[in-house]
Amino acid sequence: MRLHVLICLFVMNVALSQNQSVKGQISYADAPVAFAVLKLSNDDGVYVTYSDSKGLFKLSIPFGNFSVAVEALGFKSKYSTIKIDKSNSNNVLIELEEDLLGLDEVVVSATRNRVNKKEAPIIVNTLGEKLINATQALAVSESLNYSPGVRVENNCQNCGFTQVRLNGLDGSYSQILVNSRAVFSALNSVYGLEQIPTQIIDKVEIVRSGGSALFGSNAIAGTVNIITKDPVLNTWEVGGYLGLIDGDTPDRVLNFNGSIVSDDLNSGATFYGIHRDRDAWDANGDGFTEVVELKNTTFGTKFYYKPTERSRLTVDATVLNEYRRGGDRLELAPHLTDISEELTTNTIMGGVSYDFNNEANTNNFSIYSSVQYTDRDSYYGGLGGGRTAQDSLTALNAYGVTKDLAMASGFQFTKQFNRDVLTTGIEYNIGSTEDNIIGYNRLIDQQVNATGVYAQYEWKPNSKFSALVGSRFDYINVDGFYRVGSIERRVDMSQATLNPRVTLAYELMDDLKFRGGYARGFRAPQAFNEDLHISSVGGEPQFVILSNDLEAEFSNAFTGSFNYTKEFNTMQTNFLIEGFYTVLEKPFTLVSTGAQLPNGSIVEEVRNGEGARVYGANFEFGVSPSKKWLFQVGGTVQRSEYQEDQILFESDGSNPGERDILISEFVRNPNYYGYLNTNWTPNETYNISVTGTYTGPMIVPLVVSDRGFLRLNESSAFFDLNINAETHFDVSDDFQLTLNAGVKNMFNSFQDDFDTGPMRDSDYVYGPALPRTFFVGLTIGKLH
Amino acid sequence: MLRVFFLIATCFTVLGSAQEEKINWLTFEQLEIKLSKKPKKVMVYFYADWCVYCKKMDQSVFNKAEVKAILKMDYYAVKFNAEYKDTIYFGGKSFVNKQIGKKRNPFHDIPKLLAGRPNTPLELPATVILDEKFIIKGRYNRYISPKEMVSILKH
Repeated sequence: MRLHVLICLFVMNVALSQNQSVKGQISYADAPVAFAVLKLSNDDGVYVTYSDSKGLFKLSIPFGNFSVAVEALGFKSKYSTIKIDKSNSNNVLIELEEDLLGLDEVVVSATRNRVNKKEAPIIVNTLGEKLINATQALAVSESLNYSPGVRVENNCQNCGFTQVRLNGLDGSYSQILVNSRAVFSALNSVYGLEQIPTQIIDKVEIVRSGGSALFGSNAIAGTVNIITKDPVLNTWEVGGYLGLIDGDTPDRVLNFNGSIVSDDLNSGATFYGIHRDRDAWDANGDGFTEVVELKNTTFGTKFYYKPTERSRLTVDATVLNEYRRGGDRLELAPHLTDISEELTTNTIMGGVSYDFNNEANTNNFSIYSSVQYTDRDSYYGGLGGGRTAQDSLTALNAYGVTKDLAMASGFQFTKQFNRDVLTTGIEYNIGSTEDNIIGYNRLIDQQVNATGVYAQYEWKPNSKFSALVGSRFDYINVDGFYRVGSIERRVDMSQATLNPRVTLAYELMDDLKFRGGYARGFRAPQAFNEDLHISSVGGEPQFVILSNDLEAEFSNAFTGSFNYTKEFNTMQTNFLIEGFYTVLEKPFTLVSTGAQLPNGSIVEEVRNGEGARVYGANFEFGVSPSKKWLFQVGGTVQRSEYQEDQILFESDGSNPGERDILISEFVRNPNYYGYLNTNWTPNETYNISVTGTYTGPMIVPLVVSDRGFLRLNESSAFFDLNINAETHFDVSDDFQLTLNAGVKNMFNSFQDDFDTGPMRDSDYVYGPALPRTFFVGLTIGKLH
Repeated sequence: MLRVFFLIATCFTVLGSAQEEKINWLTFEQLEIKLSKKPKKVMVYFYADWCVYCKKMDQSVFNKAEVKAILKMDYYAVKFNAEYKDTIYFGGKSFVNKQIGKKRNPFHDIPKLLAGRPNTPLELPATVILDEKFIIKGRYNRYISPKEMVSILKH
């Protein structure tokens, strides 16, 4: 039918004009161009034809002058007009030239680009899924070591409490964010990092130093931002892991996750669950654990819905149930043992966020709210080696209950100008913690309300220079009541502070960038993190309490860095050297005041310490010759020193052998530490990675008397090397299988001088978290 | 609605069980032969192995009966790995991958030419619609939902 119409038209055309039969060829660089569309036009008409496979064309056209247009892939006509007459009618030559950019007239709709890491005014270190896999990290905390300036330390034999140090400053100077929101509460930061399963993590972004006003006022050392996966494909997977700690103590994990995403990508959901069951491990055969028993079940979901093209609603919810037990004779009830730390934690957390843009995509609004509630049953105590009626009574009274509520709500507005970006927002945080152990007459009852208002402007006057200038105003109100035995403290304070933040970046050369920054931070006096944890020393619990007139702590942080990033063909190289200098004014410092309580318990006070400074350099060097190989090495050289010697143990003078213990540098803080990360992926089926961390010598205090007297020991250096080999099978498009096996801490570089027995100092732990551990893992599912 | 019904009816009657039918993906060489015999509209789809949204296109768009039916009836469909290593002969000219050994994700000249934009890196998935005269009518450097794909192809 269509052919018929075409023939009719053709016939009509012939009938109406004085056409001549014209032949010719279309060519480029003397080679014929096939299937090019040739369009010749003048005032009288338009004539169109194709060239055949040899570049030849035939046309019925009157003689005259025509403008020429050729539509061929990547070409245009060399000349704009042509004259056709009798002399060339048998051989019209149309020569073409290359036209690589001529295709841009078509309207294009493109996906929004992510911010290029290289361009960002602040240095962001990213830990991706690949590294998390390579280190076989079961929890986020295990993989954080593989970023310069970051060190995760294990703080307790009895409960396995870990904390992250950034640039040598302890956990309370950094902020942990989940999807850029501060939902980690005071309590959650004690164990929370161990409780987030790695399989839901897309990447972890680490920003050292508080160069951005968007983060909390305490985040002077930096932020750890855990970004969870956003599903695209419909996938499912089920995985299992078995580790043998020291070759015999099992650590088992079973996990699953699945994602469903609609065809138009307007809605989707991810579900995940993990169960971990780790037996306790005893390093030295004294019957007391060095690695605690752990049973954890987590279930969660995250889903999103896009009501319109430019808006998105995200909801997430997670429930978490964890049981930890450390000490001795784990089969008995805690109060019948010498030492027990037993924690049963039930946490439910969830959040809602709604994001929307204007039509031009230049204004972005975000409203969010997240809540976390934890209910914890704790037991910190035991007989402590004694067997008297009093000991039994004390042990029986060590059961406690903690209720912790954290809420973060906020609004953020981002406006994109031509080159510049304005970000402004308001955030309101509530933290309410009640930790009650009636037997010890111990109570922490604390309400913290904090409001932060921030504005930040990213100014890019030209392509080489950019500045991030911002400030945040914080108003914090702490209402706390703290009691241990007969000691009572009350904090009721409100404080407003203004904390400016500046970062400048300048591109010295194409591949070399300088960045410099300043941030001011402060921390209000409040119980945080380790203050909620009770360790055991000399068979008695050791408490932490805020001192009477604890004042806010201020800090000033300066950083400067050079970053060189270059691609030589397929080889990627990256070199970073970064100096940091942080001054702390009246830092919160733990001072042991000896056995103050009638039952002999040691009390540590949080006091405003001597002024201190922490300074040093981070470096990172990475080279990846091709997709098959990756080598990365990084590390930190630093000093941390008090302006005047800091008191760690305050003697009351009653015991002639004991005197005040003073120190000039931070304890538990090595001057040298680093990591290496190598990966070999010869093909799609196999990959092998070798990763390792180095921890230099550091000073670790050990309590040597039941009065709390300290000895300062210097630890040895550790080199913790891991190897993981993985193989991947594509059984079908819908079913794949990944098998892996390896060894963690291959050289068994591990602490060898644990304190022993019921009187041990449970805080005397340092170095790698696990001894040599063999593992195998299997994942099945529709993985991609 | 009637049109959709008609279309579904046609694809069931004409093609038999359309759901099991796969798209007849052509190479550029095959396309050249087909075009020389009978000009038709062309859809060129560029993907890469690492591109998640490309996988989503395979799993959720190109398996839809309606999309398959329209492509079968009115189009020549070309699927091309943007990182293809070898030379392609098309239109009397050879196209190569000049970025091999130079870039991590070496893009072939064909996707750069058809789906590229000046001063912007090539973004995948990329779908290019060309008319019977092999003139580009639409270019999409993003994921296209099945609904949108149908309306693009029908347009």
